[in-house]
Amino acid sequence: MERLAGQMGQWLADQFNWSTDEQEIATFSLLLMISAGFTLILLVLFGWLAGVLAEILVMAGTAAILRTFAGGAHLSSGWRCSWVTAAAATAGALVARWAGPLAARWLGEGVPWVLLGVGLAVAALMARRAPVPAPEKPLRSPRHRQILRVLAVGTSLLWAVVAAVWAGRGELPPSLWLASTFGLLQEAFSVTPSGGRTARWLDHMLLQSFTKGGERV
Amino acid sequence: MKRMIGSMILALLGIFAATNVASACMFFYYQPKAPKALMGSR
Repeated sequence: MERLAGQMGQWLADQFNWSTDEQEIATFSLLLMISAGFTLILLVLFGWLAGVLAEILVMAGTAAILRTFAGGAHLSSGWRCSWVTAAAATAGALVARWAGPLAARWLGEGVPWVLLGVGLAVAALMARRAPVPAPEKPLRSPRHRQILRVLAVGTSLLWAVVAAVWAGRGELPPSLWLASTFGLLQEAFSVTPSGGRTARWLDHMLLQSFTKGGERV
Repeated sequence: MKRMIGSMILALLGIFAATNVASACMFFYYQPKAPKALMGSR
């Protein structure tokens, strides 16, 4: 991915006579697009093959929205990120599809309160931990960090209210609210020190285990 | 004409890149190294 984005950025810079800074920005943007596009293709493909497309998109979407403001643990290459994201979302979506109806029966009328409690707990965690910046893109401005923290807490609170109201009215299938809860909790784990250690361990294990075209991926 | 197309492509890519830099992390679990030109004031 990095090589493809670099080649595309170089080609564009040659075509339009861009400066080095402009080429760097274009390459960075292209790499983000390629990485996100590949991840989305994997998510849709895995979801379609496993028959849990709605759950997988709800879980990944919930985590991605909160992650925009909260940040969190990272993997060190686009390939590893895409495969791990798709695998984790598929596993979570399958569990949500299977366990959603059971959880709804078990919790009964308490479903909205449980979702509200989860959302409030995540909001409290975000108030303490978010934003967790990546070393590749440090957040040096205190005001910027403050804004992101407020948005992360606000997103968690909004999720709590919306999920509780929708699930309480019975408008949201159990598998979907459970998938969304998994997405929220996955992102919450990602901002904790344990989440960071897990991501580094996973990154190391994948780096040791896979090669692509003769190079580490 | 070619210059205008180049500027438009660069503007779109620049907006996308700036959005990423403004967020804590956009799109899943990978964050490429942000260009210095976008990190100056942060």
